[in-house]
Amino acid sequence: MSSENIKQQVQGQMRIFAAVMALAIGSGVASMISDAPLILLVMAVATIQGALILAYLMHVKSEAAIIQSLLAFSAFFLIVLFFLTQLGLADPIEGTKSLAQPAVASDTTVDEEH
Amino acid sequence: MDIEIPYTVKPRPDTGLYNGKLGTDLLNVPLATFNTVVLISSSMTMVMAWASLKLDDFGKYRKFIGATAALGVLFLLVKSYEYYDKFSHEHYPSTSTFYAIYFTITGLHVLHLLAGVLVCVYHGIFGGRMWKTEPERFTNRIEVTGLYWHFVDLVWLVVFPVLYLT
Repeated sequence: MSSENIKQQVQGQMRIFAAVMALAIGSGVASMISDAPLILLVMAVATIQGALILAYLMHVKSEAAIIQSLLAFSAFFLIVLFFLTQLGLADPIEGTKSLAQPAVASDTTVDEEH
Repeated sequence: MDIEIPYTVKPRPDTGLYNGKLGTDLLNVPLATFNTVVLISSSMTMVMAWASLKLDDFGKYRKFIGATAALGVLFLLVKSYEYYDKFSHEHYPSTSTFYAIYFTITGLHVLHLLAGVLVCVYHGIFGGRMWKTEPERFTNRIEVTGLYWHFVDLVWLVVFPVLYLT
């Protein structure tokens, strides 16, 4: 690999780092200023950051197809896991209270120790 | 059957604990965002260390691998402060399920980062010998160390939103 190639590769990687850093700061600031639950948004951002690091910094982009397929297989089940938790929220057990809902007048429903 | 899960969004007068909110309120988000920037910066210096070896500049390599280790130590110091802050408010892993998960996951990440810092320090101090005799092999070692470092960075990028931003 020539010096010019190495410098080009490093420049490309620095751009990836800049994107990952901007996304991380954006996620942090958004969570600080927003009262709304941002779990899906911040996890989507984290997935993009992870994909960038895997593809360009850990060289998965230039790996053999079998390695990429295995990782895609893992990624699929990870995404399924994310949505399982969302399905759980969409189908609550009757009588339970959601933590995301505002508290009742007294702000507390304490029957026993944690 | 009516199932009631007890919760409170304000600290209970008897225990001072609450479980109505998650990471955004329990943890220090600005500090964790700063730590994320530190860790991403350390990955950048790690790439520069590898590139310096590829360009036959061992002096620059030493500076960049030293910067990587220093940024890793800075991350650990900030994390120590976070732990100190939690312990001084009597928030321990036994306090709640959330804190148990928080301390376990961040503690494991800290151990991995500590191992990475030690490897960087080792390669920074003792790397010169191998560089003189087997430069290609030494460069490969730094590349593999870099892969490990990026992996630790990647894990933090997922831990950060899962624990702090929800």
